[in-house]
Amino acid sequence: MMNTVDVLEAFKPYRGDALVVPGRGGRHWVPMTDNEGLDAPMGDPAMGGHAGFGFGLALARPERKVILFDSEGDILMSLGMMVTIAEQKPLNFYHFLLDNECYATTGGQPVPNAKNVDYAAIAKGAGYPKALAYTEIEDLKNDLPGILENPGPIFVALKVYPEVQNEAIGSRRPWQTRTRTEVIQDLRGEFGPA
Amino acid sequence: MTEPKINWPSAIFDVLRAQNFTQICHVPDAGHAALIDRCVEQNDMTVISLTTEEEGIGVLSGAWLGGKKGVLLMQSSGVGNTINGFALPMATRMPLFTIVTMRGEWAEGNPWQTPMGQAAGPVLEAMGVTVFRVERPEEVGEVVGAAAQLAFNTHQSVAVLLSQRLIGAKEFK
Repeated sequence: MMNTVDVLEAFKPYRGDALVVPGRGGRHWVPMTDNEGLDAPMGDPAMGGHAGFGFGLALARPERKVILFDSEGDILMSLGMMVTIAEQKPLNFYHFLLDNECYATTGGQPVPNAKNVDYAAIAKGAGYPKALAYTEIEDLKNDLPGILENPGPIFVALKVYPEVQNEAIGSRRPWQTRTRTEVIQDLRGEFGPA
Repeated sequence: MTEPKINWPSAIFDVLRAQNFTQICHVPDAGHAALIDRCVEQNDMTVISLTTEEEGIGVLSGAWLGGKKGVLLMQSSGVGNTINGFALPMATRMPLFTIVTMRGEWAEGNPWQTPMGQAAGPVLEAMGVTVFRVERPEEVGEVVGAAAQLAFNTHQSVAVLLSQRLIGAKEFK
């Protein structure tokens, strides 16, 4: 098991000019990023939407790496998305999974079959050319440079400790430093209007 | 002398071309088949086959953020699969444009199509999507063009419903 913050710290030196969709790791990524204009921290949107969003961004900007930190609850809710991604095989798409085995923002209830799902095997079966799985941070650190040097799409399943939030939503400490509109405007400024 | 039949899928394609659409998401439907085939033939269009229509909302939102314009082609039954996904463009004021071929209305022969077909328009409107409906082939190009402009110029979610009378009831043989 890894800490999400350690995963993101390990990734940070290799980020380059990649576009980063931090997903539910956003609360850790936002304070540590050194290029927030290339980040798309969308908060907690409708479950299942992260993969499609990151994938759409990757298809639109094939010259830039897109790094998505997805979560297992999202993946389970939109499992077909992996097949859709695998068919298109975006070479610039790096699909990381932060698997905490639970719905951390609703009280920590386990996702279905939480302990037994092999997400890397699902990705491989869906058609991803390469799918890896890690439980130890040192192993991930060793392999990260190679993962990001190779063409995508690559799926990387990571077992992370749950960070369960039980307090009322209004009592939670907000981690966003920009509004959703500012996030959109910053990225649109990078690429220009559609 | 009969009037020449208007090729409305071609009229939609011409709009997509004229307005620089490059990302075409779809869950296949017979009503959209000719348009999808035409898009697949283009080297500069990315045609993305989806496993469920909701995927298209995320894909097209990401695409727009990356500077590319796209459309979601689906059947009315697929509208029901998209609804929660519309939270993304709604909450972020990103545009979303979809063209829906209608079932469950004019001369429908499949009762499974009627509940979602008849609810598609109201459900989209309940989510805040601006809905246009087209009944006549000669109006397709104009309405699709205007609806797409509305979506991308004002950052709204907009749907064009192509009526079953327009596309023709599916014949079960």
